[in-house]
This record gives sequence, structure tokens and C-alpha cells, in this order.
Amino acid sequence: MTTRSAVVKAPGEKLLRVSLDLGGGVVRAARISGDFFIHPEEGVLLLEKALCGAPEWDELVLRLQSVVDAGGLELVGVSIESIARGALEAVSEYDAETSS
Amino acid sequence: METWRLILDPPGRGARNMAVDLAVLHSLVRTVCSPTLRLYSWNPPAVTIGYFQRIEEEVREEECRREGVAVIRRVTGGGAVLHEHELTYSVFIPLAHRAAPRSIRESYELLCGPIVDALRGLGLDARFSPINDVLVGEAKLSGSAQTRRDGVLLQHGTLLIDVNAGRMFRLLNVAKQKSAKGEPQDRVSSLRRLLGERALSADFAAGLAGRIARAFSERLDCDFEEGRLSAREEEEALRIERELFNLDAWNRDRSIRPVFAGPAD
Repeated sequence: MTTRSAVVKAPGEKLLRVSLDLGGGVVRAARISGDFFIHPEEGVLLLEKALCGAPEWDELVLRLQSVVDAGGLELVGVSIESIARGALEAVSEYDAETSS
Repeated sequence: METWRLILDPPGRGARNMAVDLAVLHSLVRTVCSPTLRLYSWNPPAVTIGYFQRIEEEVREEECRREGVAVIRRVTGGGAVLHEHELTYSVFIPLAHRAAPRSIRESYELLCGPIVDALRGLGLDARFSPINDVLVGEAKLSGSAQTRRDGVLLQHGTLLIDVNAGRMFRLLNVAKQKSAKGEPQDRVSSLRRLLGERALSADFAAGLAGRIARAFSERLDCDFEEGRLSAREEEEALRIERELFNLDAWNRDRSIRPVFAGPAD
């Protein structure tokens, strides 16, 4: 298992870090951290869960959006696009290492 | 005019301060009562991190241990703070109340308004800076964070009286991305820096608390009656301190929820 992180600071947003535990080409666990706000706060666990598995990365934003809609989450100072971007960056770093 | 409760708390330890905030929030959830404004400070100094932050990313734990500074994760989002020379406010408002706009961004602006007013009353050119800051010039003097739980809004925030920059940068990791805006020490200000040594006196602190209460009263059209924590709030604060904010299970792990109060009165 390898952990890879990416930091995203989108304009107008707070600092976001996405850390993924990767093994066997699969995301085993994900952590979304930073100084943003998500209401209700426990909703972050649902977003982290949505990053796990062997996700179709193209659909990541849509998947995160469905979590936001289903949970009635409100994101302030962070966006699903930034979370998806952080996850993609963390995975691509891992892919680059494992394919080299 | 509606009467709100004003609680002026003595300086408290970190876990205690955060536990009282949660106990008062629970109290408003349980009973139909008026909004509350709590003003307090910190002794000994403590570090708090935001709900979504991780201690290992934000805090130099070894240094904190060496200096006897406790590290506590808040129930609110936002950034890591070294609470040392500051006045802290917490405001508790039922979500159905006129002073709790549904929009989170709007409610930050509304509830940071009294902080801006109080600073302007001191002759400072203060302004609200979205999402959750109050600036004087380009430097931050106050930051706030909000949560909404079970129909009640809690917003708490700091007002920096003095900044121990050396200690702050010794205890906290300052992310490189943030430093791109300029030198970290220039992005934070304090009342001492702006107003001089008089900002450090006990009289000044008491006067500042009065100014903030008056500013809330004027901006939100309410009167204050000074009160104290109820026996139940006191008892619950002790329990929350022990069973939540003193536990690694809370401070390091998001999998436990803030403990909740018992049945309604």
C-alpha cells in the first residue's frame, strides 16, 4: 500500500489536500483535509468514501455531485471539482511511479 | 427588543473552552431559549485545528508537547489557530431566528459585522473579507468558523490582541501555498500592533468585550442580559471535555461524532 497526496488551492477556495491509500490499482482509503467547510461536517466521510474503489475517474465529478445532492451537503471554500482534481493528481503520481 | 444571554467567561483551558461551546449549543437544541453570546479567552494557550484538518499535517506535536500546549480539533471547519493573546467570541442562534440567514456565506457576513463595528469604534479601518475573515488593511485580525447542528447555528471566532509570531510558527505548519501571498507574519495583525501597548491591559480587554457586546446588540437589534452557564451546561461541558475533546479518538479521527446531550428537559 502506498499513500499519495495532492494539494489543491483553487482561486477563492481554501487549501485542500487529498490523500489516497493505493494498492493493487485500487483506492483503499481516501482522506480529504484542509481549512474549508462542509455542512453537515460528517458529509466529508461520504465524499471520502466516493473516492474509494477502482473509480472511473472521468465520472468522479458526477459521483461526488450525487453524494452532495443525496446528503444535502453544502461546500464552502471547497468544491467537488477541486476534490476530483486532487484525487486525479494523487492517482496520476502513483501511476507514473508504478509504470516507470 | 429581544433579550439575549451574555456570558463573560474567565480564561479557560482549550478543551474546556471548546466543550462549553458545544454544551451551550446543545442547550439551545434542547430548549427553546434566546440566542447567546459568549466571550472568553485562553489560559494556558492552546492550539485548535479545524474539523477537516489533521493534526499531523497542521501541528508540530513535539513542540506543542514541549511547551505544554494542548491540541484540540474543533467541531467547526476552518484553519489551525494558536490561541494565546486573544478575545474569542461564540454566538449561538436557532436557525429559525432572523439573525441566522439560511445562506452560510451571508451568515458569516452578518455575524462578523459586529466585530467589524467594534474595531471601527476603536478607530481601525476594519472590513469583512469573505469567506470568514475580518481584515485591517490587508492583514487578518479576526477569523471565524461556523457549524450548524440540530437546528442551531454556532459561530466562534478569534480577535487577536497580540501575536507571538515566533511561537505560532514554531507550533504550527504554515503551508507553502499560503505563504505565496507574502510573509506569513505580515498577513496577520493584532490590536497591540495597531493600537500599541494599551491593548495588553486588563482594562482594555474588558472594554473590548463590552464593545463587542454593544456592537452585536446594535447590529442584531437585541439587548443583552449577563448570565452564566446553567448547572446542566456546566455539567455537560465537563462531560464533553472528558469524553470528546480530551480524546485522541476525536482529535485524530473523524469517525466519532460529537457526543450529544440527553433528552429534552
